[in-house]
Amino acid sequence: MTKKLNATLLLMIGFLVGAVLLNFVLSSFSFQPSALFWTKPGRFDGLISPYYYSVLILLSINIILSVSLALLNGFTGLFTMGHAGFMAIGAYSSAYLVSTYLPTAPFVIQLAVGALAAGVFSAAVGFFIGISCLRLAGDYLGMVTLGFGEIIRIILLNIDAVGGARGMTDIPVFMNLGSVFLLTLITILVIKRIRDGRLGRAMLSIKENEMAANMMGINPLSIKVRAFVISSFMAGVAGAFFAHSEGYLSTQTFTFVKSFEIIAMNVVGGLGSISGAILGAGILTVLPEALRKLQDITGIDIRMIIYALTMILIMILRPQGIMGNREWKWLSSK
Amino acid sequence: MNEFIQHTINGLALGSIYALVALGYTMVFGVLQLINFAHGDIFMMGSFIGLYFIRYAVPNIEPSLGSALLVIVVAMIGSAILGVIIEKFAYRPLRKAPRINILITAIGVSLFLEYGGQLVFGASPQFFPDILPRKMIDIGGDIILDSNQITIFVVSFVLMLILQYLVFKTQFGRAMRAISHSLETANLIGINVNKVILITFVIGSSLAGAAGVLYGVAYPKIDPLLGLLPGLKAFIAAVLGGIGNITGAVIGALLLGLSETYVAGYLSSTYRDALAFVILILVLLLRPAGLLGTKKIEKV
Amino acid sequence: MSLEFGGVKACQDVNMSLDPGILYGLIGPNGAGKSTIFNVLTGIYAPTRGDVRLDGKTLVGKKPYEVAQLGIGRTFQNIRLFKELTVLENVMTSFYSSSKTTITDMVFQNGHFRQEEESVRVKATELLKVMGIEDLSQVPAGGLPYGKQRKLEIARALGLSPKLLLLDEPAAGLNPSETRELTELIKQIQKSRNITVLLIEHDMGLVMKICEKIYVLVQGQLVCEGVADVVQNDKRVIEAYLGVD
Repeated sequence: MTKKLNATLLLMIGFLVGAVLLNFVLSSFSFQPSALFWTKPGRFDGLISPYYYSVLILLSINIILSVSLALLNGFTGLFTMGHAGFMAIGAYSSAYLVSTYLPTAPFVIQLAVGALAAGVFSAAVGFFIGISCLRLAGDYLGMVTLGFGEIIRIILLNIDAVGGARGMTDIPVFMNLGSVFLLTLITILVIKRIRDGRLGRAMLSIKENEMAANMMGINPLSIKVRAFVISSFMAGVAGAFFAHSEGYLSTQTFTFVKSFEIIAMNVVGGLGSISGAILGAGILTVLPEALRKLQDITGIDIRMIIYALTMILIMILRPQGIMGNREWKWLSSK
Repeated sequence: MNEFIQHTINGLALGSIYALVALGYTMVFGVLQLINFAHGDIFMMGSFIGLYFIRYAVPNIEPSLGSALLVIVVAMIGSAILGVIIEKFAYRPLRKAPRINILITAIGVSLFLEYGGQLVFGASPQFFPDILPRKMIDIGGDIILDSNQITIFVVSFVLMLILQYLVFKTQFGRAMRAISHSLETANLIGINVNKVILITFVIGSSLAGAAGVLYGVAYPKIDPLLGLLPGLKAFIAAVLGGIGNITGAVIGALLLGLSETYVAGYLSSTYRDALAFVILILVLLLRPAGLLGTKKIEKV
Repeated sequence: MSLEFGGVKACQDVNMSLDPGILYGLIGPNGAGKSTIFNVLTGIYAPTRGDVRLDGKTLVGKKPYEVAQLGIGRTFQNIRLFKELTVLENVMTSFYSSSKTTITDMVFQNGHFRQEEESVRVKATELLKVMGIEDLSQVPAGGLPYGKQRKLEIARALGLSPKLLLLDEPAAGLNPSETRELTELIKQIQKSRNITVLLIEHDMGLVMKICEKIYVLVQGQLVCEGVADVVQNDKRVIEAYLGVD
């Protein structure tokens, strides 16, 4: 059995690498070592082509989403299916605030205000949803968060001030790779440190055996709500990054399918592990993009199918995810 | 008042379709404690199986009750086969795995069917051919009964009666209910669990397939993503009725169909979809076992 | 410290009064309701009648974690360790409520954080030393042999600095030499920390050896209480265990 698992893993990794290389070869990119990539976007005369630039930004955003979900799912054992809803709140609040009140401010201000507002709004909503729902266990929590995620989306769909059904356009685009990357790194570090502290131990203890944790003086609901709020905050910030790198928003991006995609990143990478969440985000972001060239050539869109198959196969062949609950060296708490 | 009756009729028709799908959800949850996310897509596949059967096998079909029944039966068989394949290859290997794994797999299967469907059938909506002669019957007072709706009522009702018989009056039904209570015990008393679960999937999927054809009859534009929202709503209907409870699924579905139609008719159609989710949340927060459910919910 | 409670459930009528610093035993045939009493004491169940008081203050209506924070620690009959956490981390969890690091502390890992973490780590290691399993501190709890898991459960409960320690069959499944060692250990801990211990056990040797006073519970009712000799010779107790001739 182990032989089969290792072979599958190797195959997958090989496939991934092959796809990326293929893409590399087939696409053209410009080398202009003039400007660093820490510049305002729109000036893609940095080191990499616009396409890779946007993929890397997307990857960073997905990492934040995946890692923040891991806090909830892998650490505290809370299975939720509404993460996209918090991303949506963050995206729309930041987009609205910045477009309306700070359209010409320096980008650092735009970023600071937008991200902070996004995080705070999402966290606030997360708080209220949390205290009402986190008493539910297992599947039921998953279902109710799914419901909330959709309701958030439908409400946003019906608010004309943020574009309604047509979506929101003309959002100031100021996210550049450098800042996203840096902030992603900070997010990862924050989550690692939370996990290493007593809050992390409390979360894990609740996941392992809630009753025992209760008996050791840990208030389960309080910990769960805290995890939920932190996780929503980060998802909101990720949403803000998303809004300000795309320039437009459509509620269709934030359906429960998006929540599922984030869950998949966690599970594929390994549920109890930050490294796993990052790896999962990496694989499930890069894979569809890497296959895009293949799609261009053959004319068939098989990316999402490969995505779906990856999910299924990993579940059957390596259910604990690629990392299990181990961590890479630099993320390990020991 | 007449408007109310009209809405009621429409709502019941919608609810009947939901019911056929909800039954599959509730039965599978009963035996496996799995929310089969792919179920809504089997419903969608039923639609398309019907469509392609008509298009390639009987392109000159005369709209009639017989034709409709033929298409329905074919769709039911096709969906049942699909359900079996999914159960055997995607779910059975994970029978002993942690719950979240099988949920993820179900999600994966769902996405696979959707995008695979887009690939094979094309992403743009297609028209479901007429297989039933359509008559609008005015039963007075501006209330119009669509003959399609009658068909939906009748077919659903008959199917549900058959299911009722199967579940409550046969050995298979007893075995299925035994497994719902405890899979291990059922195993120990000699029930062939794999076979019963397989048959559960067969039944659930064929009902969904039939619903798919009925949907095509009622809303002639179909596309590969049609299973998403109605599937989710059917699931919510099952939760409303008490997930795991067959009668509950039907009641929940009818209620949902009715309330959705009322909301769309009297309030606003943009919030129609939100209603289902509001119901979901209210049920889970206030009465998680649903209207008829008896499963004890683990509240901490 | 004193703990009294009375009237657990409608079908029982239990009155117990525990004085500080004494090692009590609670025995009785299986199904007599001993674990139920523990559950009532720790706030998992609410008594349908009667009250539970710690130092004069009522505990009824408090959540289990509040009861724990007030000073009642317990172990479980079927071991409930945090399997994926290390041995040390398991014990550190019970220090959660007494620590004061905030999220900001955790994120910036400032001096306060490091101080607190170190202090908790040291205290937890102490407890491991007391139980004799300090050498296994980095091992995931799930990988421990059974006897050491039982010891870890006790160490973890001690992290609460409890006034009352409830031990639910701490020697279940241990071989005689492990049981002897554990017996000594419990006595030692109890005396050195001057805590009240209430011990559920089936191993009569253990009970008779270290318990200063014993309660006997049969089918939900207290049929006897007293020191070892009294209990051993009590007719009802003998009946309950050996059946009526």
